[in-house]
This record gives sequence, structure tokens and C-alpha cells, in this order.
Amino acid sequence: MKTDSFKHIRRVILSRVLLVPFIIVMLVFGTLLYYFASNLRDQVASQLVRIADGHRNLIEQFLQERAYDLKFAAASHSFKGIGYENKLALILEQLQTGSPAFFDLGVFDERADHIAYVGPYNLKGKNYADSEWFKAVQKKNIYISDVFSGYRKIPHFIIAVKKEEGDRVWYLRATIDTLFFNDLVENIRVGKTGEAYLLNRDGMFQTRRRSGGNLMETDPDYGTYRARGKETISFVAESNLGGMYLYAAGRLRGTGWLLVVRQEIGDAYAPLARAVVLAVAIVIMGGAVVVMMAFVLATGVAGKLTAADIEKRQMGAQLLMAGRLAEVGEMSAGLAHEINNPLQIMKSEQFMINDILNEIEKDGRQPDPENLRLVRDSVNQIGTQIDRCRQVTQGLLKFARKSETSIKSVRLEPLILEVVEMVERRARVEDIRIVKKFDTLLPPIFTDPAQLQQVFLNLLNNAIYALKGKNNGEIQIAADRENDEIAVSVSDNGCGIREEHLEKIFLPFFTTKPVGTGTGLGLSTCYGIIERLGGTIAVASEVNVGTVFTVRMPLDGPGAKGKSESKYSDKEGEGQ
Amino acid sequence: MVDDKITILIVDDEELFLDSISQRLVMRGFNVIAVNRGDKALEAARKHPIDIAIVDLKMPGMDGEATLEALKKEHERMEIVILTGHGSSEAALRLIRSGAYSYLQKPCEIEQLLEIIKDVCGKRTKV
Repeated sequence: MKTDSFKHIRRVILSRVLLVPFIIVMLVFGTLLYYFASNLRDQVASQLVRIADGHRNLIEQFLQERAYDLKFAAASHSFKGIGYENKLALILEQLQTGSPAFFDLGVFDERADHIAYVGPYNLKGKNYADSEWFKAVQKKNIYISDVFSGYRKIPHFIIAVKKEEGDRVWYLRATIDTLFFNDLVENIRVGKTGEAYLLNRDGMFQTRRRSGGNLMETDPDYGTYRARGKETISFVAESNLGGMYLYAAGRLRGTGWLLVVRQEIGDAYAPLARAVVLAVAIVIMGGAVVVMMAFVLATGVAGKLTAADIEKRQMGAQLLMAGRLAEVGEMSAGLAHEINNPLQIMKSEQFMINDILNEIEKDGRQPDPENLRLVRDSVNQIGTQIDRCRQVTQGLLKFARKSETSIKSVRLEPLILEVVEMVERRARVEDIRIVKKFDTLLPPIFTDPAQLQQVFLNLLNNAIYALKGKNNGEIQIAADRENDEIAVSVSDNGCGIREEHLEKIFLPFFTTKPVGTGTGLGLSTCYGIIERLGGTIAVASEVNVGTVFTVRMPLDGPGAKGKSESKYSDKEGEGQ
Repeated sequence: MVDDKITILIVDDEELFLDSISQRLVMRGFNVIAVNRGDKALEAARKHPIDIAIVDLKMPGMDGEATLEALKKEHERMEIVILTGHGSSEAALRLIRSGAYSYLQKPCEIEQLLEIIKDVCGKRTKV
């Protein structure tokens, strides 16, 4: 029972203190994480674009420089001079000093015959009139070819320049070292999986791709590259060879090649993943601390609340007991009076008998019949007074028996009359009239008669107190049936109760009586008893007009109509 | 009344007690006036010279304490004995301070009451 309520309290505290703020914190955290992640993702993408842009510029510059190198070489020599191969070798050497990318060098006449050549292949004398590069350079003056196999059957690309020397037109052509160029393009460091490669307009590899893709092969993913304009853009796409990649792609000016820089998505977003993992870890750890703290806190608070509740119950029981003791105290003072008066009469009767007996003894003759009558009267009077005392002591015993709780079918009328009888003498002393008004068809109710009597006794005592020193004091006690309840009202035309006192009237230890006169327990005890018996007690009062206390008791006794909210309705209060 | 008998006023709402005690006191040669209420006691005291009043505390209407004070106010020389079944030592002290001659707790021996009456009479003759 206790542990159940403890767990219940703890659960309530946990759900209120923990769950609601936790949901809010989680929502905030989720939103923050979302913005943080998308921001970081954008940063990663734009960083890749920056790298790709820089790299594109580098490659463009390289190609342009090599083209100018060649153009300069052509400009500074005549066809005659350059036709000698030792001269051409010298020029190649000079070019190679500028950039080791130059692999070989050849001179062609206007018919595309290979006039002179320096390099590792035997290409001299071959005619290139049908080759694409020759057709292009005739029109463009400077031409950088795509990678092709040509006569040497090895993938390579060339830079060719056209020289017009008077009427003569000739061409200078250099092959760029494929390995060197590959190194240049590939030489990029982005994360672990970052790589860069070039594709021509047909999607053919112009440089090797580290993760697979040889020169002149077609990139199966070419269709997915969305870069068509001049800007380098980034996008995420799935490779046809498997795996998701973050791409940055932009076209080179002049050649129209597409520079692709790509990175595996997991690698690209690794910092993001790390940040998210860290954030989640912090939140989980923080959450765990909060949960732990909340649990400890809730356990503590629930423990204290439960203890307080138990204490309150015990206090309630103690108050009930204290109230009963107070009743006993108050009653015994009254009882002393009730017993002492008859005793006093017996004393004086005894004194009279003694007187008469003394007289008889002294005279030594037949007793006077008048004296005999007096003695008989006295003896009778003593008997009467003894009966009176017995009545009082029986009432006392009845009260003592009241401490045992027992619910039984009770008729209210005789029960109330008994109580009225107990206070009638006192009321008479105070010049108070007690009027009884009972509904003639009151059904019996299930209740504890002794405890109920204690309540009515208390209410009557209070009414008598309120009527002290007042003329025409009247107490009315009435009982009526109201649906499945019986309402008993005790009203007086006494001093009444001030409004500010009215709200505190059922509180323990609240009293308006002078110090030492009232315990302040009477009405709180009544309240406890009535609650326990499943009824209600209410008060209405007006100063100098009077007060009405109304007790409503269910016919079916405590526990009927689910009146279990009463804190006193524990096991012992029911079904005995 | 012109005799020199001591006049005793008994105030108690127990009429049976009034009957038997006044009979005894009359037999012992006292003038006795017995009343069952405080206001009647004041009335009687105005009509007759009273030497001693024996007053109960708990009575309907004017209670013993008020009766004591009223009697003392009107008849300074009257001695008043409180005889009550309902009392405490604090009440006794308070009443003695208010001018009561003595305070007796019911039930008391009638001899004790007579002793006190004799005391008062002795005091009276000295005055």
C-alpha cells in the first residue's frame, strides 16, 4: 500500500519533472542538430567546389603556359632552321627546361607531312592530313587535343601551333607527357577518398581515375554529372559502379574538358558525422545525468511525501484520539457535578437519619411515628439518589465503550434522544430549551452509533456554549431524509460564528474559547468521524442570529457510492 | 423578625437538597431561607437580614459566582460559603478572592458545614 503510493508519486513526479522538459529539450536539440548538419553539409560542399575551382585554374594555366611555350618557340624560329633535327632537339631541350611536361616535338609542313621529329618514337615522314588535330590546328592556330592513340598506339595528347611565315605555313606539335599531366591532375588531397580526373566532352577519361578508370575509357557516370555551364557546381550522386559520392565539377576553358573532383560521401561528411555523434553523445550523457538526478530527486521527494502522508494519517488518528480524550475530560467534569449533587443529598439524608437515631437513643422510648416517617423518607431518598448516580455512571461506561468502532444498522431517533438526554440537565441549568423534530419515517442507517453520538454530543455542547448567558436560548435538533441520505441539523439561536472563524472551524486546535477552556479538537474530531463514516458535515452561521451544523449520513454506510476519497476509510473502518 | 437567631440563606438548584438541609438547620435552631435561583437569593437578601449564605455554583440563570458578587456588593457583612459539586482549586482561590468565606466541595459532611456556620457565628458575636 505504502510502496504503491510511493511508486505512484514518484512516477507522477518523474513524468512531470522529466518527461515534459525532456521532450522539449529533444525538439530543440533536434532542430539545432538539423540546422547545424545542413550548414556543415553546405560547408563541405562549397569547400569541395573551392578546391575544384583552384585545381581547374591550375590545370588551365598549365595548358595555357605550355601552348604559349610552343607558340613562342614557333615564333622565334623559321621553318628552315627548325627543320634540322639537332636544332629541333635543342628547342625541345629548352622547352623541357621550362616544363618537363614536353615529351616530344615535331614539325609539319602545310601538307601535314612530318618534316622533323625529336622523341622516342619513329614518326618522321608520316602524314597527318587526316588526323583530327591537324584539321583543328589549321583553323585555330593553337590546338590542344583530346587524348588519342595515334600512330604510336599509346594514349596521349598534343599541343599544336600554326606558324605563318610569308607564304609558307608550318606547324609545331608537342606531345605532353601523360604521366606528368596525370600526376598534375591527380595531385589533389581531399580527405581519404578524394580524387580528381578529367573527362572530355564525350565522357572519356583524359587522365586516370585512381578509384578505377583508364585513359580513353568512357566514364559510365558521365550522364549523372550535372555540370554543363561554366560554373563549378557540387552535387551528390550515386556512382554506377556503386557508392555515393559528393562531386564538384567544372569545365576547363579552351579544351572543354570536365574536371571532376569527387569524394566518397562517408568520407566527405566524416566531420559532420563526428560532430553529430559528439552532439548526440553529449545529449545522451547529459540526458542520463538529468534522468539520474531526476530519479534521485523524485525518489527523495516521493519518499518525503509518502512519509508526510503516513505522518498525516498517524496525526489524524492521534487527533481523533486526542479529541476523544478531550471529550472524556470535558464530560468527566460534568459527570463529577452530576454525581456530587446526589451524593450531597445522600449526605444530608444520612445526617438526618443520624439525628433521628440519636434522638431515639437519647429518649430511650418508642420512636415518634413522625420521626419514623422521616427516616423512611430519607432511606428512600438515598435509594433514589443512588439510582441517579448509577444512571450517570452507566452513561460514563457507555461513553467508554464508544472507542470500539462497529458499523451496524442504527435508528437515528433513539440514538439522538440518548445524546439529548445527556446534555438536557446542563441545558436546563443554562436555561436552554431543546426542541426535537424528527421525520416520522426515518429508515435505519448503517453507521457506528457510538461515534455518531460523540459527534452529536459535541455539536450540542457547542450549541449550549453558544447560548451561554442568553435569554430564550433554544437548540433545535432535526432529522430528515434527503434521497439516500439522512440530514441531521443542530441549530441554535446563539452568538453565531464570525465569518473569518467559519473557514477554520474544522481545523484541529482552532478554538475561540478562552485559554484552558476549549481544546480546539471537538469539531475536528467530528469532521474526522463523519468523513470516516462516509458522511459530510457543514456549517452555516450568522453572528447574533445563530448557527446550524448539518450532518449528512448515507443510508448505506461508509464505502457506499464510492466515497473512498475519505482518508480515514481504511480497512478497519469498513465491513465489521 | 426580631429574634437573635442566625439566618441562613441556602441557594441551590437541587431542591431535594434544599429540603433536607433546611430541615436539619431549622432543627438546629437556625432561621433558614432556601431558594433555587441566584436572582431569588438577591430578592430574599433584600427582604431579610442574612448572616450566612450557602451558595451553589452551577445554577440556571445567574450562576453562583455572579450571585456571590451581587450579594457581597449589596451586603458587605454577609458571609458566603460556596458549596459546589463542580469545581477546582483555581475556582476556589478565585472565589475566596472575590469575598467568599469558604469553599466546600460536594459531597461534604454536614458537620463540616455546621462547623463553618459556627465559625461565622463566633466571628459575628465578636464584631
